[in-house]
Amino acid sequence: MQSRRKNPIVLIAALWALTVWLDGCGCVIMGRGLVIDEPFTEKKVQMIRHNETSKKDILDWLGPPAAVARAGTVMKVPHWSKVESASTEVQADDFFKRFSTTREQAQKPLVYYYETAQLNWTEYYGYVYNAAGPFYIPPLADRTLTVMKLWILLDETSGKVIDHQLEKTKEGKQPRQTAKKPPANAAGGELP
Amino acid sequence: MLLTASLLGCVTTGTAIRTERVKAIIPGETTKSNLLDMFGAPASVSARDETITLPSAAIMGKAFSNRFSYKLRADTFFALFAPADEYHRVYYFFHAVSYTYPVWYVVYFGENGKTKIDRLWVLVDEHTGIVEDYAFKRYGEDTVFGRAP
Repeated sequence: MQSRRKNPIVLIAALWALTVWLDGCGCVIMGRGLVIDEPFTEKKVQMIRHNETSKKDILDWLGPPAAVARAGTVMKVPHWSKVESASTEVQADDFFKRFSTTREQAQKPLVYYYETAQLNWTEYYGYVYNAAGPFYIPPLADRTLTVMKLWILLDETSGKVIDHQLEKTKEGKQPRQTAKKPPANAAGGELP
Repeated sequence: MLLTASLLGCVTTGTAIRTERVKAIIPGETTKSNLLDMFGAPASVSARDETITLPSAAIMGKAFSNRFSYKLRADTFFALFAPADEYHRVYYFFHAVSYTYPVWYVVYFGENGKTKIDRLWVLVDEHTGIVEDYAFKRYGEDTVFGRAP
């Protein structure tokens, strides 16, 4: 009987302790989105008109390219990853392969390459506070890097844009958009 | 309050490029010495066909704490200007502002950030020491050229 009388006290004490302990537990979810570099926006790309837009227009709107591809050359192409900015050597012909059907329209073909990147990450922080004091659970992080790549095929002779391609990728995923269709009033040909 | 304050951040790289100073560059008249007086040391000086190493302007965020530079072919800069010879160099200046700010949601809070970069490329004839042309691109705006190509 005696023990039964003590039970409510023990139970209340246990509930109080549990409440205090649970109140002291928590989780903070923190999201981050950083635009790393933005030399162009999709709005600017939509302004490109095949056989109308000039090299001068492209330089006006977008500034200098990250890489210039001339047939037979090797380029240093800067790129972003989740943890660093770096550059790799790329054969210019790899860029020209993207324009296999429209390259012939250019007497002196040239490809301008642009890149823009946005890094998003979410961090989950957990914490517990009890009689021994607070301690934290190491954060878990989830990062995604969204990169927009733009290739513009130009004819150096006429100084006009022949074709262009825009690609949006998330690191570790397949390209979501592999080609930018030319605008309705574009005089240029269809993309491959 | 403390949390909000801890999420606000701003980091700048390079020297501020003021529009009035850029307008003061007169192609064919301004000297290399004038240019350095106005903008200080450039981030790079490059000749055609060189490979240059540039500092990464976006340094906000621990994700990029371990790599601050990348390589680039200088012919990308020369694409801005009329054909140049072996005496020409492109002086490159930039000013980057990286900042973050907190965004509050119902169940969690977030932090957004952006890097805004102003860039200036100046074509200098090292043989004469005269500025021949420049291109200036303020973040989000079109490029302004010193002389019409």
